[in-house]
Order: sequence, then C-alpha cells, then structure tokens
Amino acid sequence: MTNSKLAVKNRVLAIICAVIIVAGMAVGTVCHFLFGGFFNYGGEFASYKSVVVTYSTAEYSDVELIKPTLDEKLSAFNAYEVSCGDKTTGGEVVYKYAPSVSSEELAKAVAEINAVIDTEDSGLNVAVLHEAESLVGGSKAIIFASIAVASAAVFEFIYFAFRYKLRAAISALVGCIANVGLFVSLVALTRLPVGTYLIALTAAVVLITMIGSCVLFDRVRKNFRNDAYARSDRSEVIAISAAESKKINLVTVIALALPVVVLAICAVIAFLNLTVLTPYAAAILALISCCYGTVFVMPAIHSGVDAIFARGKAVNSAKSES
Amino acid sequence: MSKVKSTVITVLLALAIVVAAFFATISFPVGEIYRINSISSGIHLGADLSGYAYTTIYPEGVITAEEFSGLSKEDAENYELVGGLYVDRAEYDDDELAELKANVQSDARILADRFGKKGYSSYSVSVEDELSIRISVPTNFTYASYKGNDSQSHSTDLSTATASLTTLSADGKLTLRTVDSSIEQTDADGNTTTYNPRKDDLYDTALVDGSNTYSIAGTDDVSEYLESVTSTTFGTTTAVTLNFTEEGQESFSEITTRAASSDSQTIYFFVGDTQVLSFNCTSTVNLRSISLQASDKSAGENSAIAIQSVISGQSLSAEYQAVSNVITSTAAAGDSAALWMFIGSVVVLAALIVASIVRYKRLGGVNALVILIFALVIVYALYLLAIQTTMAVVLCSFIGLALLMVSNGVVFTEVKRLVATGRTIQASVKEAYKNVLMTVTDMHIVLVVVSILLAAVGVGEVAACGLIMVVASVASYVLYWFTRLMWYVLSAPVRDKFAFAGLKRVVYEDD
Repeated sequence: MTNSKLAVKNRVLAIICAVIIVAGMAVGTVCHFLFGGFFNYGGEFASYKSVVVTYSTAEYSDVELIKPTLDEKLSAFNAYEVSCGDKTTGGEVVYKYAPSVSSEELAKAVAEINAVIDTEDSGLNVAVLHEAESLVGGSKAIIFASIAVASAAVFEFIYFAFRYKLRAAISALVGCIANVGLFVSLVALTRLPVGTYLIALTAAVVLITMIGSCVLFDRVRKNFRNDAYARSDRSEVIAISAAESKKINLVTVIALALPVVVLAICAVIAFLNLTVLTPYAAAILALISCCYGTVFVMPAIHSGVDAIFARGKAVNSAKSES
Repeated sequence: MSKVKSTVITVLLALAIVVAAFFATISFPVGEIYRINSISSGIHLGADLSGYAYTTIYPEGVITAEEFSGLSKEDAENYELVGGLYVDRAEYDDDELAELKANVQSDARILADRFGKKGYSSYSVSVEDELSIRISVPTNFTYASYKGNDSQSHSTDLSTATASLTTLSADGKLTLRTVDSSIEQTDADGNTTTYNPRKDDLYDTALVDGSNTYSIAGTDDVSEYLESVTSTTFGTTTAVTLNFTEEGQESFSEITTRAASSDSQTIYFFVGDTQVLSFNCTSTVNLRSISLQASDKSAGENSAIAIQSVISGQSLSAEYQAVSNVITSTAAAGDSAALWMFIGSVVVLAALIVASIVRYKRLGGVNALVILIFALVIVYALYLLAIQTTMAVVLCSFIGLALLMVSNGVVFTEVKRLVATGRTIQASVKEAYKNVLMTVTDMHIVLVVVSILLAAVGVGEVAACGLIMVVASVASYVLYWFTRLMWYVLSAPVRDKFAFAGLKRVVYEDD
C-alpha cells in the first residue's frame, strides 16, 4: 500500500470510529429515555429476583447437604449469582435472577423446595422469593474517578506539549477522548450488563492509550527528523510512523488480551456460568477500542491537527512576508 | 566478565527467585498447630474473589419468614405476607404501610450514598420486597482467611465489615452521651453545682459493656452544633475532625466543661442507638474544630460518614431493627474464582515466557527472568501494601507487564535493526539503548504520574488500580535496565553473541 493510501485508509477508519461513537451515544441516549438507562445496568446496579433459602436443622446442617436439592429445583432458571453464607446456626443460600425470570415459575419452585426441606412445617428450613430493586449511590467513586482520569489526560497533554509539540499534545488528548468514547459507545451498543468495573476499565483504556501514544509520537518525531522523509508529505510521514508503531501497539493489546481470555476461561470453569464473562467481554471491548483508536484513529487525528497547524503557520508567514 | 563471575551471579539470582517464588506461592503446615500461609494467599481480595459481607435491615414490625414461623398462632394472626416478608398489620394500616414503603425507598438511597462515600471496590444496596434493605460490602478476606486457613485475619476482616454495616446503617439523631447520671461541677469561686444528664426518652441506649447512657447535651439538637465532619489518615493513624458552628463551639465548650468534671471524663457520640465516636475529655475545649483519633481507618471513615450524613439532614425516616446478623457469601465470581485467577495468571506468565524464548532464543531467557521477577514484585507489593485485589487490579498488573514487554520489545527490535546494518552486538546494544532511551523513559514517566493521579484522586477500585500501576511502572523501568545487565551477564561466557540474541551477523563485503 502506498503511503498516501495508508493516510487515506487511516482517515476512513477514523470516520468509522466517529460513526460508531455517534451510533453508541445515540443508542445510549434513546435507551436512557425509553428503557431507563444509557447502559444496560447490571451487577451492583441491577434489580433482581432472589430465592433466599435459610437452613438450620440437623438434616440440613451444611450447605453441601441442602444445595443439591436447591440446584435440582432452581437450575432451570439460570441464576447469574449463587452465594452461600454461614449464620450462627446453619446458613443461607441466595440465588439471584434477572428481573425477566417469571415470578410465578420461581414461586412454584420455591413452594416445591419448601415441601422438600420443611416437611415438618417448622420454618427452620425455609425458601423465600424476594423481588429487589438495586441502588448504587457510588457517585463519589464515579466523580473522583472522572477527576482522576481527567487530570491524567491533562497531565499527558502538558507532558506531550513539552516533550513533543503542542500539536502532538492536542492529538494525544483528542485521541484519548476518542478511545474512551469508542469504548463507552461499544458498551452502550452491545448492551453488556454494566457494573462498577466499567470505571476501572475506563481508567485502563486511558493507561493503555498513553503507552500507545508515546510509541506513536516518538516514531513520528524520529521520522520527521529522518532525511529519508524530508520530501514526503507530512500526513504520509505520520501514516508511515503509525504503520511502524502498529506492530508494537498490536503486540501490547494481544499481550493484554491473552490474560483476559485465559482468566475468562478460568472464570467460566470456576463458576460454570457464562454470565460471569461480562467484565471480561467489556475488557475485550476496552482493548479493541485502545488498539483501533491508537493504531488507526490517532494518526488520522494527528494528521488533521498537524495540517491545521501547518496551514496556520503558512498564513502567518505569508502575512509577515506581505 | 569472566565465566565464573557470570555463573555465580546467575546462580545467586536464580536462588533468590526460587526462594521468593516458594514463599510467594506455597503454604505449608509447621507442626500440628501452625501453618505458614503463602504471600499470595495473604493478599486481600475484592468481593468478586472473596465474597460479600451482607446484612438485611428490617423496619420495626416487619419480620422474615423464619421469624414468622417462630411466632405463636395468636401473634401470627396480626401478620400479613407482603412479598417474601411479614408485616404486623396491628402496627401498619394500608396508608401507614404505603408510607413505610416510601420511607424505606428514600432510606435506601441515603444508605447507598453513605456506603458510596466509603470507597468500596464494589458494594450494593437494594430494597427487597419494598420493605427491607439489603446491604453488601466486600469482606476484604485474604484467600487464606476465605478458605478458613487464617482464623485471625478472618475475624479481623469480618469485624471491620460488620462495624461498617452497623455504623453506616445507623438510624436516628446525633446525640452526645455520658455514663454518669450525675455530674458535680465546681466553678472558679469554689461553688459546686450538680448537673443531671437527661435520660433520653427516644433512645434507651447502652454501651457495648451494658452501661446506661445519658444525654450530656440536654434537649439540644446536637447536629446543629456541627458544620462538617471529615476523616483523615496519616500512615496508621486516623483522625476524625469535627468542625463546629459558632454556636456549636460555645455549646460544646459547656459540654466539655461538664464532661471534664464527670467521673468517666468521656463523651460518647451516638447516631440513634449506635455509638460512633468517643472523646476523652479532661478539660474544657473551646475550639472551632477538634480532631479525635479513631481506632483504625475504616472506623474513622464510618464515624465521619455517619455523623456527616445526619448533620446534613440525611437521617433515616423509618425505625429499623438493630443489625443482628452479618452473613458472608461466597465469591461473586464463583467459589474458587481466586484460585482459578491465580492459575490463569500463572498460565499467562508461562505462555509469555515460552513465547519470549521462542522469539528471542537465549535472550528470551533473560526476558523470561525479568517477567518472573516482575510477577514476584507485584505479588509482594499486593501483599505488603494491602491492596484489595480485584479482577481489574489483576488486569492493571498485566498492563504493567505489557509496559515492560513493550519496552524490551522496542529495544530488541532496535538492536535487530542495528545488527542488520553490520554492527557488532555490543555496539548495537549500546546504540539501541541510547536510541530508545527517551521513548521508554517517556512511557514510564507518563504512566507513573498518571498512576499516581489515579491512586491519589480515585477511590475504591480505581485507587487500587492506580497504586498497583505505580508499583508496576517503577518495577518495569527498573527491570528494563536490569534486562540489559542480565543480557550482559548471561551472554558474557557465550562465544556467539549473535546466536544468544537469536540474530545472525551481517557482514558487508568491501567494494
């Protein structure tokens, strides 16, 4: 592929990124007004139905003794979380279900469980169906994380302005925002159930983007100084630099995707349920955003910013000459 | 470097790694009673890996199915099933029940806000059947305590979680109390007066040891004394700072004069029936703000959040039964999630080591060595800095490892490029490290500063991710230079330095 084609390709891919971001924001906004959330809130944010089974008789003195019965009656409903807890006497098993699971069917299963575990009607072993609405008021975590991420971006801007040039700093900042926007849009578009992990993943997107930016802008600076590219168009040099740094950025993302995939497999083995994959799927989306944004979008942004600066410089020099 | 020197350094380093790795990963019993737990099993885990401590709070007159089954037939007749709970209809008619449901809903929002301020990596507050509030916070167990191999740590972590659940869900007014039912005060002229602290009608509150308490502030609304309450931690010391209003300063001065004359010389701060703070008072305090030492960071935060919430008018509307039962659940990501995550991480490290050796031959061995050291640094840092490890923290550790691998990858590629121009290995390595110095340094400076910002400004999981990234970035930079050192040490006895790095010498013939 020729260098100019490379630059055009990056521009097209940047436009696709912008389209995805706009689509994600649009879907999120529509969902916010029609379905009660920009994201598909899950995890700590999700409302749920739960079957809570408390046990304390000698027959069911341990979770291992009661759980097979419960699993048999409740396995068909596909709980997204099962937790067991110890009480002073006996314990408690909690099965959590999505709000879409039929309350009537669950109530029937609960009645069947009670018929098995509470034969003497003593109430010592009892299963109860609850409907719950979750509230997470973690505004402090979100506000402080936003401040932290914003100050990180500002620092990156200042550092790049000193170390590289103002145009590189602007490109890095816009690129960072674009990557975060792409990630958020992908999460909104795919309607992945969102938990508080989204905050940490957003911070991870910023961190990974910064590694990629350093590699890219260093390569750009070196190539601008390289005599071999003295006669090349500036946007072409940026495209070449992006192509040269692509391998390192891809290797970084693949090196990070490897643990995510392996840990996701381990999580499925540990939990034997696909619902546990949600944070890992979001992590993969984060890595895709970082990779796509840094390899294709950031060079296109930098070309644009560089062209604006070059035009400004040309106008200024024309003015001073006249 | 001589062959002997190289071998000695390599053997010593290998031994150090083996010993560190052994203590990092292997737990073993010593005799019949003691057990030495590995470093990795002593790392504190988030709720996804070690479960939640949770409790459900019920308003007065609302009971569970389990409690209902224990009632006599006569008592049970008053109760009606609402969702999965039983409501005493003698206490609540239809309108009152509707009001109770609305109060529970608004109280849940207040509680969600209080627990949000605690900076947990994850937590949840949910309203069950519109009548009870279920609150879950991470247990912060280590793997050893989660699996029952460290009872002391288990009990400490559970007590901390229980204290948070109890203090932050406290309902009622802020009151100042004393255990003295009568206080004799002597003024400057030697006149003695007796002050009788008031037995509060609203709260029949006792201390943990069962001592009765009396209101030392009379009928005053103590929340009007205070402007704000904050908690600050310096190292291992946590202080709760009470900032008084102008009138509050005067009133508190009077109260401290009374308390200083009392037998106990202690003022207890209560939110409803829950003691949140105590102040040993030996003289009059007439200050705009005072700082009281809390027993630990969590306790200080709990007190500050609970008092601040009450003075901001965020008292709970309904009356709730005391928190009686805190239950710990299995890990949210599965009972053995932590073990599987550890196995997964080891598999990934092994894969990276193999890939490195395949790609760079014996130089890959050097890379493998630094990967191992990096992993050990992270494990020890998580343990020593008591960072609560969640899946996100593990992912951030891998970002740090990726940074190290990118740095080494950049320099190895540069060496390869320079070797292709006909330089010797020594010259290429020297030149390559010089060429990429600023690239690598830039990456590390940016990452370290950004990580510090995340750790300092962020709360909960983001702060934990920031902290581990600081460690990872610093470790990555040090190990980047250590790679060069070990390259030199390990390749010293090797004749063909090109083969060591998996490269071929390029010889240009003279024209």
